[in-house]
Amino acid sequence: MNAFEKAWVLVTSQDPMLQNIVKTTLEMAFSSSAIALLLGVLIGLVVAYNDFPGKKIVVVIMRTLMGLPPVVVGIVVYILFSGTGPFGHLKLIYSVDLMIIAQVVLITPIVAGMTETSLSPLVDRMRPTLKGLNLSLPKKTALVLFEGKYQLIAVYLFAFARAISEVGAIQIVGGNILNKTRTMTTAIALNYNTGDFSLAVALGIILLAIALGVNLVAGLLQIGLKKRND
Amino acid sequence: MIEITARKKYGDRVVLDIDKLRFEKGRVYALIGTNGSGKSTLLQALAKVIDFKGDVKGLTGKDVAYMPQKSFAFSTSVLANVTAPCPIHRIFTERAKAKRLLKSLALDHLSKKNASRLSGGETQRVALARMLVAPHDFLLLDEPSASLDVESTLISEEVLMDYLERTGCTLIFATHSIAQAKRLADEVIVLDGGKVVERGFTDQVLENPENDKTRSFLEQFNR
Amino acid sequence: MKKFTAFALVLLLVLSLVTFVACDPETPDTPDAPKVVRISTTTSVNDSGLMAYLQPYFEAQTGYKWEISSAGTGAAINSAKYGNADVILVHSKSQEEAFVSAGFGRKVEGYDAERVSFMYNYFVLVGPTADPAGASDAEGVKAAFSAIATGEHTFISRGDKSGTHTAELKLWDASLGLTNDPATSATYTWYVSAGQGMGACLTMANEQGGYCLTDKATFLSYKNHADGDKLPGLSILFEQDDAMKNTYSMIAVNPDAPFVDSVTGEALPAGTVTIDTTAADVFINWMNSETARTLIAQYGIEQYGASLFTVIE
Repeated sequence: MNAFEKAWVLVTSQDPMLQNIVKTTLEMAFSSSAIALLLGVLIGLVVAYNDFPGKKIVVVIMRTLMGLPPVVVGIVVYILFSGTGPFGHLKLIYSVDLMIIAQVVLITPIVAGMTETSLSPLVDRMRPTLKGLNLSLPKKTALVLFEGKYQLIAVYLFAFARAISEVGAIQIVGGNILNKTRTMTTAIALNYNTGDFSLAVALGIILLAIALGVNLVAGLLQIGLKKRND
Repeated sequence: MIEITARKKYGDRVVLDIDKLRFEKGRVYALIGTNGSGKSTLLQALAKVIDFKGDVKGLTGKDVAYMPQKSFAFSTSVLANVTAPCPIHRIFTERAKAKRLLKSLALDHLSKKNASRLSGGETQRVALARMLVAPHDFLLLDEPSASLDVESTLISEEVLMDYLERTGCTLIFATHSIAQAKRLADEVIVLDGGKVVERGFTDQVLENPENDKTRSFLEQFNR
Repeated sequence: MKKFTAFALVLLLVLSLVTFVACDPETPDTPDAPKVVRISTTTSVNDSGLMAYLQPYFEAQTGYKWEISSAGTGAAINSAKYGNADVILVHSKSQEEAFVSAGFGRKVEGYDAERVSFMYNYFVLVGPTADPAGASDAEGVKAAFSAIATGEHTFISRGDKSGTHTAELKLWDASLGLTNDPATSATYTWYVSAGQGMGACLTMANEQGGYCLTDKATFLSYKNHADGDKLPGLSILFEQDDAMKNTYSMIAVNPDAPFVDSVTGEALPAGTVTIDTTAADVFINWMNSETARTLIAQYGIEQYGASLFTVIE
């Protein structure tokens, strides 16, 4: 059986283990990308909109943090949330929640950096008008976000792609426990270790199919918004 | 009454150097001067859109609205653009007002169009409507008819004067048009190199300027 | 501008709070919560498939669920030192003894020592079937390793401080100066320190025509894979030498162990770290039960024609 056949058999057989893995993966990727989007867009917007001393340094730090190595984030979160760590009492080690936390740490700077970079020119053009109209803060925020919707959709897609394909951090803080914290990527890594290459590739194909689905939805959303704009 | 004292430098160049410039409530002021004379910067300082050394007295609790030279049109409908400054809970009642405004500015045929796709002149008139939908204490307009043809300019001025009469709002505007200053302003303030070189009643300043800079500026304009 | 920043900061705070509340763990102390034993083991144990094979029997008989996290031996033992496991299952005698002597082991009632050895198998030396080094004709395993070194034949080492890596290092001639610390270890062009798991190393050896020390279970599972022989170029060249014995042990984690704060390194007051001793007892007792011993002894016969582990009597 080649990998494609195996993937098809896996999908159609409604294997409970696979369903659990997919469910865990989606729960994690959607949660972490959504939380990272909220936090990151806010940070990126605050930096893009405001002029303050040291802004350039903040931007450099933000862009540096975009390259945070997942394994390092994993180890730091692991140390902090271990039984012997300062947050050990929360008992989050080897849980999906902790995987989400690790990914939020990893992805928020990426979202913030991309938001700052992609919205800065727009914000610069809008700033005099927004300030001159005396708009309330929520309204200003809403107007900038609305104008930047295409860029933000692209930013979200990147965040989601990063979340669903990440393995280094979640392997460490999640422990790859069957039926609990095993995701598609950690399962792929495990299957590589046990020599089940075709199963690994099959899982990879399913993962790509999910990513394709999310991208299609986002693409349709963009087209829909464009149509409404004309 | 408000009083502004402001200094602003870009690098070594002084772009604004104003000492205790006063504006009386309910009057119309025209700022004139060559490019780079500091008209826009003065308006931005009054609107607190830029940081500067100095302060503006008498603005506490006052509502100041400022329209930049190039206003940003939100990529929503023209009508939604005009009602953008209205509080959300009043947006429906304000909509009727906005429609009347658009009609008086001869823009009602555009009200459902996406504002980000309008021409420069249309955008400027939509931006003006957006300024006038709510009552303000001070209205600061930076070359409000720079991209408008004669007819649109006159219509806009009519709507603007009507608004001032109804609300008792103070208007300070920058312009390149001496004729417009004559039509609208009670007083004219002439700027050069960031400094006020002359101020006074419109006719007096424009017909019998006392300052050499004003004179050369007006000559240049008449030529 | 200040207002904008302030508002955004407040929103950020609220959001992170919401996130934290949302992430609050489901209280594990409720009586309905399933009883769980947290096992930390090495990748090689987990990858052999033994644990997955035993899991349904264990869970049906004891009413406990088990949560196995697997990592390299170093990380697996660390997991317990960080308070994240109730019991460890590893195969590296020296590291186990260090763990126990540091006070992290707990003697389970009815056993003589903290370290409960319960099964073993043999490491095997695998290499190209043609065997250019003549390892299969050597007098003993140490002689076989010497032949590889003398002939400078490619050798793939795990290089990850795993149990297998530790066992491998003991088989080389001391004069070679190979250690588990890459900073001080001697380097040779023929000695490849892969830093990867067992499967990855075997695949590499297969590709490069190199030699490799492996546990038999992983090797056989690659050889007799459902998709066909994954390692067609490799054969077992040497096995069953006493120096190659690979003993698996379980150690219950001591709740009163000298845990230290993982950030500051300061000693933690007793009781800070929660360790489920009952769960560990249940696990160790079950693994030594007649049912488990029979199951372990039978594991592999059906699939590979030979059992992969021998139970210690």
